Amino acid sequence: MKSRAVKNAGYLLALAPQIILVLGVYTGFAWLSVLFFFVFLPVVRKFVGNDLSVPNTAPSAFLAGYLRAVPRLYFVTWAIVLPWSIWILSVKPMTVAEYIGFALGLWIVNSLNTAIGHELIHSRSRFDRALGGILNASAGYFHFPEEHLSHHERTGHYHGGDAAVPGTSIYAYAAGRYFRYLRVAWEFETARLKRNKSIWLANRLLRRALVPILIGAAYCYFAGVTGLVIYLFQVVGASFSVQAITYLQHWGLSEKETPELRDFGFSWEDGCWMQACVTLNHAFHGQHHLTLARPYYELGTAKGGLLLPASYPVMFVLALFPQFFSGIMQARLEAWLKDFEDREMQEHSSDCIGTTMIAQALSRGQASLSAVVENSH
Amino acid sequence: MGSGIGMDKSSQQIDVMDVISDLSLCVSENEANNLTKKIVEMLGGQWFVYTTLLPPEFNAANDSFRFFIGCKAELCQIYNKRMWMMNDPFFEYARTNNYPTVGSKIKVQTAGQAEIMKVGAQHGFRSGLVVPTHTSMDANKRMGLLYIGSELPEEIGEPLLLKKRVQFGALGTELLLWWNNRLRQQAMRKYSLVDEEVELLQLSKKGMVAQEIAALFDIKIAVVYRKLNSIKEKFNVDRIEQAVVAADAAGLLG
Repeated sequence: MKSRAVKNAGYLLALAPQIILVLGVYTGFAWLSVLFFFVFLPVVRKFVGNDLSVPNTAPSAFLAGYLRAVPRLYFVTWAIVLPWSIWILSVKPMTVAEYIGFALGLWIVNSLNTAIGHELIHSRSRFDRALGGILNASAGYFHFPEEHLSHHERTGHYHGGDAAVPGTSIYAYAAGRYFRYLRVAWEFETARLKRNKSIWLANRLLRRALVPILIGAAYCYFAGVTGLVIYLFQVVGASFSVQAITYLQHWGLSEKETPELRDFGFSWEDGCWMQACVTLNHAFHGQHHLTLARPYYELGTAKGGLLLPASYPVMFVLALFPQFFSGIMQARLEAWLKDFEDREMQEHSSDCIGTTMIAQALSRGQASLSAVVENSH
Repeated sequence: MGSGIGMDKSSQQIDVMDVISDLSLCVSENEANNLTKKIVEMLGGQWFVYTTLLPPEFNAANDSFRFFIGCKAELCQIYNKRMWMMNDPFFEYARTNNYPTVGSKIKVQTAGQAEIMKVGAQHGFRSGLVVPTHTSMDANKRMGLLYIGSELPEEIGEPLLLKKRVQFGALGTELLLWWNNRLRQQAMRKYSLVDEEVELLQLSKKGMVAQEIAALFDIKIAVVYRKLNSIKEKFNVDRIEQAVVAADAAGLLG
């Protein structure tokens, strides 16, 4: 898909998960969201293909206004869908299967909330950043803004970073990372309060934590224990989604292990057009890490970047089977590294950079110059 | 990736110093290399080579070497094949000077060096400007050498290049800062360090102990010990002094 105009219109697909959730309930098929994201989307990718459109680096004022409005519009629709979800649970009798389908559909929306919330917290506008904080908090992830500062500071780190060391299962990674970052976010905020000599009431984490508490109370009050259980599932599920997506985006990539990825933001990317629209280019993650201030509509496919074997929903399911997942990712990473080395040596075969690479390889103990050169080709 | 940095307007319309300051926005070596070439052309140069390294070793196996290249590939090939790096008169000048000078003013002391100058002139460096930059005059700190070339005859080209020495000097300084920052970030990632941990290492280097650090930051001494232990684990050492030495060698505490 090459058309930039179509892509710009396609960003409205970010609203699709909410719309599909509602449609699922009214058509009597509560599993519609799950079917759409885990079956329909991967299949449709075969026909729609990857995003080849040119990013909007210099949009007109009108277009920029529209593009900036998309995440805000998402927030507005969520402000309608959230109370609707409470209301529908309180008035509509459902079977157990329908409850499960509905909960999973809502989890997809809440997971996307964290992606759109991520876009908003990076905005230059204070208003947008506040919206982002609330959006994340509504999914129970109230410490996202503070956590995210630390995430950017630690990208490419081997120790205590977000680059899952190969062999770490998604379960160990998610549990470890969630609690570690909760502590880091708390320490960050308390240090800020101390620095500014502010009282504890000014603690932004505590303020934002009120959002999920109030939402949980509303679910419980209007939709009973079932409603509360479904919301608690959302909180746990969305938290797991944040860890899982971070796991996918940075698996095995650190300065220590894979310095070749430094110009690619130590990130795995994915070019799926549909996914790019729905998540507001969240999968063009390396570029985001390289230039934090760049809004979503300025991101695009990185030339020569490291690509995930499939889109997020597929990789999410694969990651649930750690050994299988590790095998696929390791093979993919090794192939990319080999290809990268070949490209580098070809590009610099006759200049000072290439000579230095060879000389440094020799000084590290390679057998001979000819062997290095031969290997490089 | 940001290929439009500093390149959207025509060179007549924009201030070259603004474009030089855009170097700090470049996120990859290719991007910075391309922008450097653009700036050199805006200032009237045709070719350039930029080298930065930690002296005093002038050989290709020196791990600290980094380059930006904007010259003919043949020149690079000849230069590397004959291993001229170890005999380069421009490095000699740059090591002990910080003022830009024209190529013809560089003292040629050996026949090999005369050959370097001659072949350089045949490949686009008939006129040249040498721009050394230093992090500090400490002989062990990172330095940079920007060499600008032009195919104009020496008597015409060199005064033109020298006239722009302030801008070229700014470019050299910015390139050194760019590389310093990049290498510092790399070292921090390599050892998984955050700013706070680098600060702790700097304080340790000054001889401050955990109790003093705790008092300085108004935190519990146990927290300082936890942070110092985390640093030792990252460097895989038993004592914080060893971590300080390693961090210093990586250029993090300079």
